Amino acid sequence: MIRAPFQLHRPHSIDEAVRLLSQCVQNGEDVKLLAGGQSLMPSMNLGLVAPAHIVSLNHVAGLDSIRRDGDMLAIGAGTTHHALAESEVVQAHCPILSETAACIGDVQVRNRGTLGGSIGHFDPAADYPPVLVLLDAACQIVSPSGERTVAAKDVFVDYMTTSLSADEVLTEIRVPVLPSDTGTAYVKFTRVEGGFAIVGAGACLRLNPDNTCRSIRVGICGAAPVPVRLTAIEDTLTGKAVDDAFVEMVAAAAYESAHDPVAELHADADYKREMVRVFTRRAVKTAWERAD
Amino acid sequence: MQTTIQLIVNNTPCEATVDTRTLLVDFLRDQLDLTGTHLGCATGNCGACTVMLDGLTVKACTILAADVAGSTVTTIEGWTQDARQSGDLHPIQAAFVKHHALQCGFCTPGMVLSVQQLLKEKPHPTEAEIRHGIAGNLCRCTGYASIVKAVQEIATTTSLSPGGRGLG
Repeated sequence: MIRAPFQLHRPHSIDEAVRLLSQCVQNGEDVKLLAGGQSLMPSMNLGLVAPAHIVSLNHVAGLDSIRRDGDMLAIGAGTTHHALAESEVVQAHCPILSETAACIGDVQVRNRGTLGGSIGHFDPAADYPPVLVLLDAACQIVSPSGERTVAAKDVFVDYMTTSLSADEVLTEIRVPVLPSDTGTAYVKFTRVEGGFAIVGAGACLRLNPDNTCRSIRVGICGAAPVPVRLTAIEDTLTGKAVDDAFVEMVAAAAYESAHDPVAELHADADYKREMVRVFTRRAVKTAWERAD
Repeated sequence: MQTTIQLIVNNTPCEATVDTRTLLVDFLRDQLDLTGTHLGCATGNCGACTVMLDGLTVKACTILAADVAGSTVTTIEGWTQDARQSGDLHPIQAAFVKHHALQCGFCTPGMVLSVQQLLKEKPHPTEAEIRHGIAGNLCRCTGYASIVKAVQEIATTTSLSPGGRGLG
């Protein structure tokens, strides 16, 4: 049993959830949104977090839909990692997202944990943020004053801090339908299978018929408190021949970009910087192998 | 704060009043006396509290009982009802016994449910797939080798045809 008492709210609509959140905020009371609870519940069990109110999103229908909307996929924030990993639509049109979902936690965690919950919690070692940033994903957010759309790169502000306010609910994440010739990969370095990423790297690569780079995108977690996107080298390398030297240039740029790795028990900052190089190399190599 | 919930546990509709702070695992153990679901770490790591929620394995220490109102929960007790009635061990149980896939038994209820889910999705898993499938269940006794062996045997010997015993 959780020791600290709290009020549990179980709204049936987003509007109701937002209303409850803004009431709590106006009353100056600490409130947390509960989605899959795979981070919040352990934190509460340990007494690390003790909000006065919990607003559960588990009774709001339709938050877990995955649909294609033109050249985008619209994914409900309540979609579980398991559903994302298994979704044929996501596997076909944005395989990097299903590959990422499949390597989070373990089976039970993936069955319960959600995409929106992971974004809202924003552990800097989480796997989705770098991938969403490299995909230029857009987050649909409902607030008391209406809806707004925020680019993923502007959602992740600082260590465990997002640009969502306490009275807002993330409802949908939109990612691009990737052209079918895109090679994609997400690889991560963990202490044990399914652990949080010490370093994680995602890459999307398209080739021209002459084996030059048509486009490349790279996103990394573990290099800094927020996801790092290698925009400069992405631009520089577009049009260049894709070969081992190309891969090394991306890996070197990744190393340089790792300006502020968060040191942790199992990896100090210098070690993480090296691992950023290694895992970016692996991600780009794998994306290259998968591009055709 | 107290709240009344209705849910189905092991095929039986049930109504109960719970403190909103009650975790699903505590509700099952303390209010329903279903002590086959174990509480290990309470941080979603060890998997001893694994139950099926609406047909998928979850860790019951990471879920509020009040938040699963209207859901269907199956615990290890519900899962073995058939076996107890017939007197035969379920194929997963039999293989665990044969291969010494348990010693202290603390992880076993959760481990068995994870194995069941794995075999439902992948009837013939490779060793890597088996290890991936049970990654959410920690066992401090066996070193996993005997568990993997047990699952490998089930995967090669058990009939999944509708007429067979299956893995239900």
